[in-house]
Amino acid sequence: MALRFFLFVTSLVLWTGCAAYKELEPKPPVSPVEGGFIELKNDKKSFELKKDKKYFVKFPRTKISNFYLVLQLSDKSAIHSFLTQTFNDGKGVIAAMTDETHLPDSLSVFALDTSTAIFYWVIDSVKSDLLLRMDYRYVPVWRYKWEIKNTELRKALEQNRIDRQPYQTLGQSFSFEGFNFEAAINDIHAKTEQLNDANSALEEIKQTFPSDIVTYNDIAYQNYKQLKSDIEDELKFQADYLATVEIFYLESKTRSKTDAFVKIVPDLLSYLAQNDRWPANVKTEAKKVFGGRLREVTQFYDSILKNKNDILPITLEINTIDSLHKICHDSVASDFKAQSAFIRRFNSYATPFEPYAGELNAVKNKIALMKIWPDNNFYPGVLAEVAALKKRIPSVDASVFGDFKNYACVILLVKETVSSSQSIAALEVSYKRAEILAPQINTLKETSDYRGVIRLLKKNKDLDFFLGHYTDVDQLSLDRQKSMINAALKDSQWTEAETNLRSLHLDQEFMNPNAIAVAKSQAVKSLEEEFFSSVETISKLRVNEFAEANKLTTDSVENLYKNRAFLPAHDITFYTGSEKDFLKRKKAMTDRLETMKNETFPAIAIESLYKDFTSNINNNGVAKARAVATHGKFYKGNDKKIVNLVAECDTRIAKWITKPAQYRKFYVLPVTSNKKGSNEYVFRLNVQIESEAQFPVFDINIKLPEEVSKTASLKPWYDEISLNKKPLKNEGRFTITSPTMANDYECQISPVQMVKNDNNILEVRFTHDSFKVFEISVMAQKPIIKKN
Amino acid sequence: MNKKFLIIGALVIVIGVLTFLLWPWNRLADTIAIPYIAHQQPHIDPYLPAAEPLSDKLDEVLFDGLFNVSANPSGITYENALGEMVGSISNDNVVTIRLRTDRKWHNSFNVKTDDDDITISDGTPNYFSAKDLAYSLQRIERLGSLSPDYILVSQALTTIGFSGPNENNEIQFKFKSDRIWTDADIKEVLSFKILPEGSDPVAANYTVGTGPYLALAPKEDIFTFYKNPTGNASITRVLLNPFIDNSTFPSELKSAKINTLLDTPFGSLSPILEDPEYFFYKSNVSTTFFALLFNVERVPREKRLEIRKWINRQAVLGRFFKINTQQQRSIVDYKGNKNNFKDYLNNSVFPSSSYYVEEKIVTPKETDGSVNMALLPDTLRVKACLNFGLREEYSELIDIFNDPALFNNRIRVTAVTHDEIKNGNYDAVLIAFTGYRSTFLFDLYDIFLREPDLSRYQINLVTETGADGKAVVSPRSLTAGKNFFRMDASNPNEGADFVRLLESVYGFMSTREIGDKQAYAQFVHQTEEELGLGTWLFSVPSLSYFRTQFNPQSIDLYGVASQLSTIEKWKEQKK
Repeated sequence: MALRFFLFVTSLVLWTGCAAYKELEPKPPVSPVEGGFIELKNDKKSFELKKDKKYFVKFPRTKISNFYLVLQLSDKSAIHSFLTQTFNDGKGVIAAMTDETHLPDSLSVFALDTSTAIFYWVIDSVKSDLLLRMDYRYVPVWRYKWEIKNTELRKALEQNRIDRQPYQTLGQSFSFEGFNFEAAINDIHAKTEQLNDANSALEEIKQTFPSDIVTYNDIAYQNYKQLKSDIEDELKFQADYLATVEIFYLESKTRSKTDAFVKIVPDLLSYLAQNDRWPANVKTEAKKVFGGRLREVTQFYDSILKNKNDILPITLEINTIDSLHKICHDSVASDFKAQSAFIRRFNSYATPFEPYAGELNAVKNKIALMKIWPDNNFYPGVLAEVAALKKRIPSVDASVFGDFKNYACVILLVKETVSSSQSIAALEVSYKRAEILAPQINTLKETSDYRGVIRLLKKNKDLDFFLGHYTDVDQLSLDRQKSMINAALKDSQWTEAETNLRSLHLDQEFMNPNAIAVAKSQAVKSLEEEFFSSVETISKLRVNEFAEANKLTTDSVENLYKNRAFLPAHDITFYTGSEKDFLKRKKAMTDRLETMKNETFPAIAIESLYKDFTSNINNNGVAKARAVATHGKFYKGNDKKIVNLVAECDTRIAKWITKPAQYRKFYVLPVTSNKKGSNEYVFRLNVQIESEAQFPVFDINIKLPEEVSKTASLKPWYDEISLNKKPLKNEGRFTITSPTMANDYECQISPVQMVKNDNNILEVRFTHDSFKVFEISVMAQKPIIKKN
Repeated sequence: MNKKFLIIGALVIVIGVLTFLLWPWNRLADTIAIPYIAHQQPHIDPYLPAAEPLSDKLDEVLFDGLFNVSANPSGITYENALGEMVGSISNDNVVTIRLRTDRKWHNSFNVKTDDDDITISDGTPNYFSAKDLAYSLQRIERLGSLSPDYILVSQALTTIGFSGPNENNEIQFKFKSDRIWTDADIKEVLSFKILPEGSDPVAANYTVGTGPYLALAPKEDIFTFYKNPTGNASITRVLLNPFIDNSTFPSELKSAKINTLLDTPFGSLSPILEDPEYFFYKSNVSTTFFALLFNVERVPREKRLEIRKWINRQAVLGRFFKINTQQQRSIVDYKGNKNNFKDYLNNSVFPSSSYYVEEKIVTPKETDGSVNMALLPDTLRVKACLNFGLREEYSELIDIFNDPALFNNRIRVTAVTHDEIKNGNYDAVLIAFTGYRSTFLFDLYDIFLREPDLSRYQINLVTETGADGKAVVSPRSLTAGKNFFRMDASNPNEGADFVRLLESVYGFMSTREIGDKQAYAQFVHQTEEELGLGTWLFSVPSLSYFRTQFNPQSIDLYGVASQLSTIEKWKEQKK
């Protein structure tokens, strides 16, 4: 709609933007007064309209609102026109007002308001030259609409009226027996809907009435009121008739279905309660029909009660039946009265007793679900609940039910109450025992005496519900023993741990020994492993502590290896496996400790001593280096680094020279122990340098400490130099140069014939008036063939 | 009268002036004149040994290395020549050498000779470059063990070559990492002589170098080497004057036809040159030894071994130097020892003066033991050729061996032409090995593989590729007609032993490892002792005489080096 309006406005803009409009000025001028049609004239002539010319006519506003301007044209299709509130010779935006005509070929209808002084009727298109034959009329909206609608609405009323005869003669000459309820109901609904539409149209016209219309003595208004009254009367009738048809239809559908009838009794009571709405004949017919069904209700209830075989409260409806009796018959039938009295009495016992079983089960469930050990207040609480339950059990005397005393439900109620009283008394006794036992067990628990708990439980094993709280006691007992063993292991209480472990292995004091057997066996195995592991760990720790404490020891190093620290911390005697396995495991542990003795300890000591030694070789260096060498004798590992460190400090071990032309530093130690005098020093080199030569020869350069070589000019600095035990002498082809200050105290032995791919042990012995460690560097290089 | 005296006086003055001008020593002013045997003209190849000892000595006259070995009174020095070291060797053993590309080859100069006047002028310059160095190294590598330089270079460099040059003409050598290389070591290794690129690789003679003297075309068998205009030699000329044999060398020196005598006959002091006002001498380590080499085709091993024991080498030595007679030929060595004749007696193929005996790498037996006379031949026919130098010494030895008092006519030595020796027509040949080095680089090819043609110098070394891809010596190196001993690998009795000896000889000569060299020296010595291939008689001292025209202080001869290594430093006495 908005889109269409937009296009319309736009097209008007286009049209008006390009042409001038001529005003048609009627004579007599337009009169804005309510009335009939007035012909638009120009001095008694019609206006002449030229093809393709444009025109407009001014229409003034009315003084009051809710008016239509109705234009009636003889040849509306020859022109295109519209009414607008603003017009400036076709310039600017022109908003055409909506034409509300119901006869678009001949009539235009525009709703006027009082906010605009002048309305412009614009002819923007004339298809051919013509004379404008047009009448105009200012008319109130309500009148214009009523004039259009009144005939149509009257016709709707007449066509939708319902025959009132059946309703007015019901119970007299008319009965609903055999009546087509559904057709009647549909007919009423359809007609009521049509009448409601007509009524709505009248209401719509009513909205356009002037406020003072009631003062009008206007025929149109009087006609309006009459039609409105007629339609409303018909609508009220149709509503009453519909309600009556529907309630009788509801009752008719429960015929032979007493239970269904009982359910609609509240609807019947509701219908009957509208006493003033229904005419007398209708009310009488209703009581007759509805009251006639009550006898079957009593019979129906009696059948149910006789067959009831439980003690649950009776849920049959008696109050509404009772009311219907009173409305339809003015009193209640005696048999129904007895019946309803029984029901009320039975329910007075059954209703309070009904939750007893559930509540008792709740108590039992609460106990059964108590999977943790109950505290001391648990059973007193239970007993309080039991006491309350006991009060729910009624004391029933069957005789009070009179004729109903032999009904099954009555007998059952008496029996159930008696048996419940007896069983709850027995329960109360058991719970009282539990009330005593629980604190005793809790006391034992405080000391983790689970084995005591087990003993107590075993004595009361008839209390099934009670044992259910302690299903984990076996596991707890096992855990307790495990923790005791673990604690002993942690504290290195080996004997205690071993005793407890053995005791656990033999323990049968469990609620369910078979069930716990696997766990116990696994625990024993695990603890056994732990026992071995702990003994070994502590033993190793002991070794490590010993190593840490003694790693820098330089005196009596050999004695360190005799220390008991290298033995297992405990001699294990318990083992669940075979004797063979037992011995094998003990040996494995001993072997590992032996490895620590032969590898770990010496390695730590060697590294520590070597580091200490090399940090200052003049600080007790000989002792430290000798200690390294001694540890080296015990070292059975194959860590190259350790072996190398030992080699560095062991005068017996030759130092490897494997790369040519690279100085290798090493330490030289005395092989004698004259701490305040002269000592013999020895160092050995193993020269194995890759060479293309079949018979390799090298020059050996030995860089000596100044204090060793400074007297070399006076006496040989060395006692003996040998290669593979053959002395090398400064004669023949051998040259042993003297270390001097000029050559930076370097002694060269040249040429030294080596054995290819084999050990070439160059041993140097010298004597020096000291007891210390010397640093010496050695370099081997290939001599070259010289031309000159 | 006065006029007569004036005329006589003038004549005396003229004669005096002419005498002074024409006096022999004045003819040798600013000249080094050295004698040589006329029919043994030098064949100069800086990488190969030559038959004539003088040839090798002339290497120092004509050529430069990157560094030249020189000497001062304290010993050996190395001087920059065609290269100079840039810094020291790097941690990864790379040596950087800056090449002297401003040095010209001798053929860059025009030489004009007009009688005795020689004019040297600039010609088209031909500068030394890295290409020359590359060529020289390639040739050394190709010569392999035949060249001592190959051993020296290959022992030190990872590959025989270099990288570069860069824009600063710097090249880099990668040295092996098996020793700490001192600058002296490096310079020694890089002191091989350098030939110009494009030289004929098989030329008989190389004369274009960059050394202190450039060679002129020989004229009437006189070889002239003229001072390199861009060099630093003090003396202008070096002449090689031809003579028939060495017997007259001392008298030629005395008569000032020469002023430098590098080796005296017998290596002994010359009585006619003992006036210190005119002559001075300098001794050097021996470079010549005499030996009797057996023809293995004629003399079986058992006889050879007995002959060896039977020949009293000490007696021969005594007769040779006329020891303890009034005609004793006195000797002096470079260490200052006098008449230490015994030191020259050789007991092994390695002379006693050599490094291998001196350093006791090999320890020859000094006594020969008893002789089984039954095994001696009736007559051992020995041949000697007197035409290729050392005529005096050969003559003396022939007389000695032919002396019935000494050898009871069991040895018969005759002088023959070299053809007879070449044809192997002898039981043994008396021969001198000249120019041997007493250093590591003692030359066994010269002894065992030299073809027996004294008129030329040819080594019959045949190598082939072994299973491991390395060169091995071929038994074809031993062919009867191609060595003095007539050894042949196919000899049914001793071929295998000869090959064993050959392999040891090749091992000795081709190795660049001292240890191997020592071991192979022992193997050679032992094998030769087993085979009894020769009687190693004795060495003769090396004694040089100079006229006092020269400043003795300027001439440094030392140890085992070439006598002409410092020739550019020789100076004349200031008058």
